Amino acid sequence: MKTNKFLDEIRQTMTPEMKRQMEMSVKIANRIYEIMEEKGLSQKDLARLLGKTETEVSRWLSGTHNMTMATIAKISEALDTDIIRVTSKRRRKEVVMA
Amino acid sequence: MYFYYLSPSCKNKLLCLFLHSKYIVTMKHDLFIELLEDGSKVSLYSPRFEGEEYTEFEKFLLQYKDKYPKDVAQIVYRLDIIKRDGAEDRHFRYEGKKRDRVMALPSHLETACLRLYLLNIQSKVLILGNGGIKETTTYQEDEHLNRCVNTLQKIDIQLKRLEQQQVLTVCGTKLLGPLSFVIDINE
Repeated sequence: MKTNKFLDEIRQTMTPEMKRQMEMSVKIANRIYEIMEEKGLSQKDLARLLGKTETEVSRWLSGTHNMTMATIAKISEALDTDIIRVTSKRRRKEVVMA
Repeated sequence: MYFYYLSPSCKNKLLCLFLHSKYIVTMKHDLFIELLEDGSKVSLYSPRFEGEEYTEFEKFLLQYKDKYPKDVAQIVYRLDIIKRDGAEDRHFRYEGKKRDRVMALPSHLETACLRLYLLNIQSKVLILGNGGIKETTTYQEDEHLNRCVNTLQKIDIQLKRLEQQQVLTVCGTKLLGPLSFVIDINE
């Protein structure tokens, strides 16, 4: 595959933490979009549910927005679905024992 | 009253139009749409003007990579994600006019309002232009950003014309057909 030398040089400067943060943002945006599709909601619908503008919703769905926990919680509540789940070893053990 | 002057000493074709007290100078520029990187889902191209060493996107990287290293790195990684996952419209911001395919890619954390402008061709090919720091509400209010968008809009018009004639096609993630154009840019 052909690559560009300037892009390759800049790729070397990316920190693993920054890559991970960007990947997480994209995954969250994709998950929100998935849930909206499942529920047949448009960006306009979500904006109305949250009292936000379509532009703001569009930014969230682009995967380039640095979302706060508060925003993620609000969207989860509006969609009535957890957007993110945090796994825990203790919970897994409890489930296995039950 | 109109007055046309064609200067034979100019390297590019210079057409001066005098209209009453106003004059508009447009210059014709030859350019080639060059392949930067190919990908299984999306390929990256960028226009290179005749006589210039770098493509418009390379000029953008060279201009901003030292002053805004994080923002530039984020934009580059964002392009990597798009190459890997696909170039759906929702990953970008509409920046041009409704009829064109000009879009913007902001830096992820938006620390410096750095914007890259591009054309999204059928979500398979991205033609990366130039960009800059957006400190105005609209790009039209900034001379440099306006020129960046305007250049892509002119290229988009040419591409659409060739696509309609089926002279230029997107095959997989490759542009097939003539990739050399002449566009007018207001100076």
